[in-house]
Amino acid sequence: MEKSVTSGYKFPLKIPIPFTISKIEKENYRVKTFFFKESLPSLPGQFVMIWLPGVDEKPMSINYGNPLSISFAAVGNFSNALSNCKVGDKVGVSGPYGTAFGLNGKNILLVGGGYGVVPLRFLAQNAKKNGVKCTAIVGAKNEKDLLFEKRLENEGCDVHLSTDDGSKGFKGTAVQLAKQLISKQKFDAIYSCGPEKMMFYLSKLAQKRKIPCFVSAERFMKCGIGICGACTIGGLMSCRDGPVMDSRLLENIEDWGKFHRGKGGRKVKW
Amino acid sequence: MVLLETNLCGHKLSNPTVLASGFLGLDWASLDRVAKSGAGAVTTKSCNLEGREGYNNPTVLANEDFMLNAIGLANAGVENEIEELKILRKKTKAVIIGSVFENSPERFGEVVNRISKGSPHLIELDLSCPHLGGKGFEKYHDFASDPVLIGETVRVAKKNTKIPIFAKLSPNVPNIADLAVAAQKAGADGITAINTTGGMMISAEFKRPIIHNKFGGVSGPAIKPIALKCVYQCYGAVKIPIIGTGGITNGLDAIEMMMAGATAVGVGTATYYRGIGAFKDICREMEIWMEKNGYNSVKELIGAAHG
Repeated sequence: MEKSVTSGYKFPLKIPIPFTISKIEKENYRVKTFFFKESLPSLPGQFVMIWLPGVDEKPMSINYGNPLSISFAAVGNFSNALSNCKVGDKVGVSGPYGTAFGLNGKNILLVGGGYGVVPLRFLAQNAKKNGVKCTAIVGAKNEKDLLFEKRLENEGCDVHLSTDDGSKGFKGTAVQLAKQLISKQKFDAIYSCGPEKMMFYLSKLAQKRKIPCFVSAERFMKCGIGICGACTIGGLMSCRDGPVMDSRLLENIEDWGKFHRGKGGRKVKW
Repeated sequence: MVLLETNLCGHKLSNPTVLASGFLGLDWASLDRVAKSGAGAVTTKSCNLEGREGYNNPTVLANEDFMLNAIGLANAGVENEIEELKILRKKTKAVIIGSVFENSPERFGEVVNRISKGSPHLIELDLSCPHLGGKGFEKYHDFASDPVLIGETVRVAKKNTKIPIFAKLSPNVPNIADLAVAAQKAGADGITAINTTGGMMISAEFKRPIIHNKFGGVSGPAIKPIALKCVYQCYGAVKIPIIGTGGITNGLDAIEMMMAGATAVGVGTATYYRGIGAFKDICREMEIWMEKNGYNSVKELIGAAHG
């Protein structure tokens, strides 16, 4: 007799477990990195659900798995409450969830916008371990929002910065900088995480140059396990079919790069 | 070869699996994907007149035996639903069930009237969400247990549409058959049973309920015995078809549910355990079992356990 009806199936549990914050590092004026005492076997691009009892529960990109680490910007009600946590505090963690960035080829380009660089750092760490050459673009609105320059250099990345206002590095968008780099050297694959508009135009560029492109497409998530439908991108659940998807999958989806959905499911323009 | 075809109020389903309301059905694209994955019918996420944002997270918890959810009937409102339905009607051959809820019989009537513009094949009245509350919905739970209110709501709904009406009933009552009888008397064309059964989870470490709303609805394998009992009771009390829902994870579950009296079977939480392929998998498992046991058609299963 099988132990349970479901014992033959593969599914992620969704029960938060207490993890203890062991170290907090400040990345910039609003982004913090938490390290936990506990580890979580996971892959670059996957996410965890972080539960702050009485406040909310949100998906967060995994920064390091061993021990678990997350980096986040204090921008809303939840992330501000999380930002107020101290070393020794416990939060509820479940996961890891979603798809991961695989490694394709020997020379890859990472394009991160804003705090989208977080899962790309994890990917760079994997690339280094596997002898894959990594070039990384870190893009932001301005100098004070730039993130992870040092952390990516520590993983052996050739790091290029871009700011919309030119306050540091290349003046312009991360996609414009990617275009320049692509014309100078041959990349086997592009990996991106950041604002959807950025990934949308980057995908188009990659398609034109016939370079495989993988993006982390995130929508407002509720369940995190692919059942509630809140994070639909044209029928693809960004929590279970994604967040990492081959950009070719998204090309023909009319919402991609144009609309996302709010808490109640109403479409909102990006 | 065994026949999986079944029929709900004159609408032919290619197989008895029905996507249960609340799962994936936020937009036409998700519902179309589920239909293409093999569901005989798909039910939209429940909508009301103005829409709702739902509760904060955690809204969903799940383990090997059950799922607990309190999403709070988040939806973008009936006008948005009509647009999704119009596209879905063009995209799929699967039977489409439009699910609605409101806070009074009159408003139920209005939302039924409006969703009819999207031409779903069937309309399901969600009378029984176990955790709906908040402004305007303080008394919603009365719908789940009051046969008079259920009757009145079905009557008003019927006046507002030509589309067949299904009443989705709660297991959190002493005798669900009384409610099914009330719905049938008022003109309901079918019953969906059961909705989730009320429950909660507590984190010992954090000393508090985990679901943000504290209480939610339990679904999945753990509630199958409850669902079987309720469907069995309803079948014994009414003549109208029943969509038997609750804990259907594999083909044998579906067969047992049909033997209890279901004409079609709701599948929801199984998509968590088995992915969207659950519909095809369940159908294949039904076929194998039926062939082995000498059944030619699922129609022979309906109510077979009543002897």
